[in-house]
Amino acid sequence: MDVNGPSTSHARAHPSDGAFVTFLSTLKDDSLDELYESSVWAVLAALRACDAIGKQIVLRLSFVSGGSIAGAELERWIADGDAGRRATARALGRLSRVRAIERVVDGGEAREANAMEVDVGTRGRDFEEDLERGSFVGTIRVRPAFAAHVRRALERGFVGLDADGGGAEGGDDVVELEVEKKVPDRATLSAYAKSKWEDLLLTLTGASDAFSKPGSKVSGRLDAQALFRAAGLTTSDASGDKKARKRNAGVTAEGFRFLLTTAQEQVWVLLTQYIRDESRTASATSAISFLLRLTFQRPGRAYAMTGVLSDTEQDVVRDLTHLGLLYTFDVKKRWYYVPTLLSSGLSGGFASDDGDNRAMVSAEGHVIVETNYRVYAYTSSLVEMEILRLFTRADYRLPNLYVGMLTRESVQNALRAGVDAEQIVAYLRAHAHKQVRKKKPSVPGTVCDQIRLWARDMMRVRSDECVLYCDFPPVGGFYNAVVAEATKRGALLWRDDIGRKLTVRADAHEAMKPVVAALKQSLGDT
Amino acid sequence: MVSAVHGVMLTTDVPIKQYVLHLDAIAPAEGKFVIADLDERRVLIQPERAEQVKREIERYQQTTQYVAPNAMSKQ
Repeated sequence: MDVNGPSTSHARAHPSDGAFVTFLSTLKDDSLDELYESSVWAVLAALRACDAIGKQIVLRLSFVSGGSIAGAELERWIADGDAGRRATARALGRLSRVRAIERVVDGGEAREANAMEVDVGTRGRDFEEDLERGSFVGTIRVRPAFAAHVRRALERGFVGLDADGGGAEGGDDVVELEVEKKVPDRATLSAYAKSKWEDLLLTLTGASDAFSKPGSKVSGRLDAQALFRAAGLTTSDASGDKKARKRNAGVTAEGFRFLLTTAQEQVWVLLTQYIRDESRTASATSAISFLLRLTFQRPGRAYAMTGVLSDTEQDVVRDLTHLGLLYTFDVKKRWYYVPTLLSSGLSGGFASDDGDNRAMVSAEGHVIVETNYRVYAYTSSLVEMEILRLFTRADYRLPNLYVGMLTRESVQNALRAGVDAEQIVAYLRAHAHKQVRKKKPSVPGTVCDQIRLWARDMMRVRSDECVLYCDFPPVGGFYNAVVAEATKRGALLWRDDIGRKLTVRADAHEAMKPVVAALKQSLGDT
Repeated sequence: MVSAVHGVMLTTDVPIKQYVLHLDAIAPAEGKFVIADLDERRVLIQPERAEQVKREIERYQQTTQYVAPNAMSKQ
């Protein structure tokens, strides 16, 4: 199976999509179809990642014969107003990016065939064009394989969807009891997952070697450093010379943004890269469908490995265990794995639409921000301190408490490193301590505003390389003609009609020169 | 006769623009960099001085900020 390179993925990625939708849309068309064909979990995960409108459309159409609806008909579902239409176009765009729906224009599959030739990057962009045109054209159809899986899942009440059923096998009560005993309780499990993930993040920032040295604390065939590099989170010289490695050396702007996103997004960023690496082997489809099935399995419950999973899947389990997404143990040489909380939110999709991940975050809130910009974080976790250090001035560090200060300098340093203001605010909000969470804005409004103002402060001066045209004759149409020409080329930066001056972008000057000369010939001397 | 002048146009707010003019005014004759005062928010300066002017503005902005000291550190 082939996965497109990063360049194509960017062409199709959409800013509002979560990491999971983005990931799906980077897959090649036939791979994605194959995935939906073979795995009900892939279908459900894709559905889960859509927003409410998208879900509605798929669910409704799945039970319509042929699974299709005329665009004009669909239009009638939309509540009046532009907002509704925009949201629907967005949802449709997203659905077609993950290839859940397709559009059939009158005259059969003609459109489809054309679309293939043009560029995969345009998948899903049609609908936004529709919005401009004012109506949805053609017929919109849920892909048959997709619809079939949705129907089957709904009708069976989401149980017994797999041939093997999954889960620890029944039958042998003694074994089952022993398995039961070996499963760690929820708190232990989440502590385990958290510590693994933190080691991983610390490896990223260069503060820990836990994942990079073979034969150290954790070992596996997965090289986390290589994974970070491949995902563009660090640059290659980061892991090279030990002595030269300063704090955060080699971490890219992408890497800093990565640190501030939710654990769920982080998991996906790494997994996408992991799958891309994996796709060099022939088994990526089975690896992906296994991953997606995993996301529907209950954390804290044991699932059998030995004898149930294929070799590929067992390899995946080992790698994920390495990352802390799974916990494995054996009973009498039979291996079992337990999904941790980290893996449960994998395909949750929309942060706003989904409770799983939020629940996980809220359980561990630890940050208090005061109106005087002081930040207290009740944590002993090195990662959390490292992250706060990114954008606060570290004042004190006690065994279970970090005290810092949001200063203009510290925030702007973070902004320069590639983090944006909204991310800082979102991070503070998402990790607010449960005591301050009771208050309405959990982070004081003044502080949020100040962070945004500091960000805007950096853009206070805008500079453009330009050419100033002045000394036009005080009367006549020459000046206006030049202004019109510059506007037409999109090169006009500024004009002063009274002083008869204008500035154009420097790169447009060469092209403007002959035009101005020609205009001067015809108008200037009159 | 129409003339074309190459430069960098700084677009900023009124006070900062005034500060740029001030920088130009206190500079010695050979260090002047403002080519044209366009309007109240824009000024055209010599391209090779643009970076330096921006740094200067940055430094000035930093001096107008109050940063609460860390009680532990001796400032």
